[in-house]
Amino acid sequence: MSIPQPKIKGHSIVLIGNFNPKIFQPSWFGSQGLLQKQEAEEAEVEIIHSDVAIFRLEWLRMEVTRERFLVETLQEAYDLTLRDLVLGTFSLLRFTPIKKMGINRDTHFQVDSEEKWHSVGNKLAPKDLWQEILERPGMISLTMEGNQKRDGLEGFIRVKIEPSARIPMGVFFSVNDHFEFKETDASVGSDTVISILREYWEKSYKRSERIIYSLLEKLL
Amino acid sequence: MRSQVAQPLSTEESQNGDGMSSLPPRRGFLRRFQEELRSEKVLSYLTDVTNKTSEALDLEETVPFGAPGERPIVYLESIYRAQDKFISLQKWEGVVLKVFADSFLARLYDLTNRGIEEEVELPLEEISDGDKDLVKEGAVFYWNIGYFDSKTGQRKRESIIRCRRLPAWRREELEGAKMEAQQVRDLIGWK
Amino acid sequence: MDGNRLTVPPATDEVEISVFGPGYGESILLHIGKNVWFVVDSCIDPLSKKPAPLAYFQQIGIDPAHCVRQVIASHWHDDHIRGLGKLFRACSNAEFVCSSAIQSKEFLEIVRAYGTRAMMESTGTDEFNIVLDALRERAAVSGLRYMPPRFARANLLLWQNTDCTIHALSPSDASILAAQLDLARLFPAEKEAKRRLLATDPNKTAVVLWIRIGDFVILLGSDLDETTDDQRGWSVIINSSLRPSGKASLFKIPHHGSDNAHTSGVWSELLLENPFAALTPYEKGDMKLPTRKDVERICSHTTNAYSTAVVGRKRIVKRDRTVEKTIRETVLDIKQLHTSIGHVRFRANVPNDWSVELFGDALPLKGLYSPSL
Repeated sequence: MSIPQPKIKGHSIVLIGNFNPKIFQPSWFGSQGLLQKQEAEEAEVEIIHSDVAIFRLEWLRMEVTRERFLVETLQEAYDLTLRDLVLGTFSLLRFTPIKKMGINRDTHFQVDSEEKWHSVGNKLAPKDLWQEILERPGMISLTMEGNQKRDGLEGFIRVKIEPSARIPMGVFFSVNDHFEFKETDASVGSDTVISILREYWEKSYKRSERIIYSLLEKLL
Repeated sequence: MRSQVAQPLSTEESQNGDGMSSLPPRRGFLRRFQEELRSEKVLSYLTDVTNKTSEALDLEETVPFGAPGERPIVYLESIYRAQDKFISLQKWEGVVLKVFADSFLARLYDLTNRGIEEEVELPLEEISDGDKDLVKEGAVFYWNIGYFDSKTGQRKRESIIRCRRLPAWRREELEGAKMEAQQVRDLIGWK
Repeated sequence: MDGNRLTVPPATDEVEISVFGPGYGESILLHIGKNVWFVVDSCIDPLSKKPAPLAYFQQIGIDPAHCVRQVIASHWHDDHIRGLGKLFRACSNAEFVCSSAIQSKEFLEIVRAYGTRAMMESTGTDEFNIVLDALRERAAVSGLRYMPPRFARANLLLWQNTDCTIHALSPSDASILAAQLDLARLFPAEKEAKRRLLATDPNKTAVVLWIRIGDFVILLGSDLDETTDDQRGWSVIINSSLRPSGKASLFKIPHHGSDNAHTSGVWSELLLENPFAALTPYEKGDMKLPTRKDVERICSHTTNAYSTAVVGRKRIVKRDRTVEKTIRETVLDIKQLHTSIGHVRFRANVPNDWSVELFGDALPLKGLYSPSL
């Protein structure tokens, strides 16, 4: 059967470390040339506070607390712009200690029949095992994790599959490419993050696509 | 599979956190903030692998927030709301080679089918106003063609060109390059 | 490519010059006999995605680690040296040779700035960064056996054995000085926006090579132009009393056969009558080199001229209909680059008796603008 086209694609980058949310205002990004001036001025700010900052642009949502930095987009045209924003931000804030990073790609596909949609869940989590235990068992979520060591970097790849809550007869795939930095790396700030985003973005993207599409081929 | 209906994650919240009463006093304004938010969709900061995030913001968070036993500083409920979406059918990275009065010449590197290179002349009016002053020789841009689905469900075919933005050269970077050049020079005999 | 003939390596006593050109960038391989090879510049084979010299060595069963004596970069920037870093790493016992015009700390500063701090690619500096890293690793490991880079300048002997000498005929002292002034201007300024470093005028740094193997003489013209400055360009070489004597029977035509790289003195003073010649074409925007006039001019000097690729063949990439429609609505013009690689191979074991083989899109130069194409 032919592989369906994605209906929704999301990209996000999450960093765990120590941040000062108040810095992350649209005007700061505009003044540094990391965003267009007009789009920085027209940003929709939800909150800017010493504990949390959240704002949106037409294509981006940013959410920063003292421990976590998140940027996300549902517009694939801006995935590299998203990456550049993080690259640029943390090359300016290069002494920000960062302990973990996740590059996430989420995709919703629509399946062309209810029968096939059920068969996806049945292949991943065979109902036979559950028929006598639960009434009308159905798969809600499945997560698999694989170890991933890349040139001395610790981390894992986590793949989640769920029925889509966005698309009827839809299947949701989430690939989380997770990196952990040793204590010594954290002490030098965000240099490791920058080099990972530069060197692994493309590989990470290709791997996510490979994972998702090879699963689709097996499941559909 | 079991079909998903969007639900507030109330059970997860009570399982994942200690509840509002344990939060520090300064959360007062945040409580007001939370009460003002629509509760149609919520996403707790405290996520773990069992969290059904596809119900929430369409996007997964990568890492558990804090180790077991650590509490977040803030419980913040984010609102789900419909968003614009774009799926790329074709993606390039481009480099500006020459700028003319109304157009520019660029080399394109196909990111959808790697290895293909093209040369293109594009009208300057394809560049958004906020990026126009970036269009100079050597400038890098991304060009995507695909389908744009608005938050209201309207679909249209779109071409989006966005110039690449990175921080300007900093003195530390330039001095670092000079220092490194000196070290390499001595080491490999580049003199 | 004609697979059968292509994969036959040269005989031990056979001289070979192979010129590769995908229509942008070029590479030249030289076999002087007894499995001793030299490589000048690098380009990428669009099919295998490897540096063309490495792809060819693999096809003819040559181990570059053992057989290549020198890797010579006659350019330093952009697409004329794609794959140079990988090539040099593979030629692990080769000496690295480049122009004296970049024998400066300013050049290294540019390479380090753009190579490691720009957060974006610039082909030429990226390739040189790989070369520098390879040299650094070799310096750290080899100790006494480490070969530092050699810097070519006019009339400098680059290599010799009992049968062969390789001289550089350029850059001249004036070119070196002019190039170093240019380099100083290329280093980015504080607060300047980060952009890719694009190719600049190759003339000042180009390395022209004069190769003598027994009675064979070969002239590789790089990208050297003729200028009005009598301290630079081809006139300096022609009028030099220090250049090696003799006339070449094989000529790699400089700068894609363009008119500003032509000097009749080269044909009369440096080349035998009716020499064998090859060029790699070039296209950018509306500019196509060689032009029809260039072809006529070159063919008036020799009947043995060849091109590694065609020009003016406009290929459009086939894509999804929706994408193609949007492209048509958006662009003023679009064309595919590097659609194929051509290879002109010259071999001889008797002086001046060159056999010519054409592979890929390579063709006789007189047919470059022929209506039948």
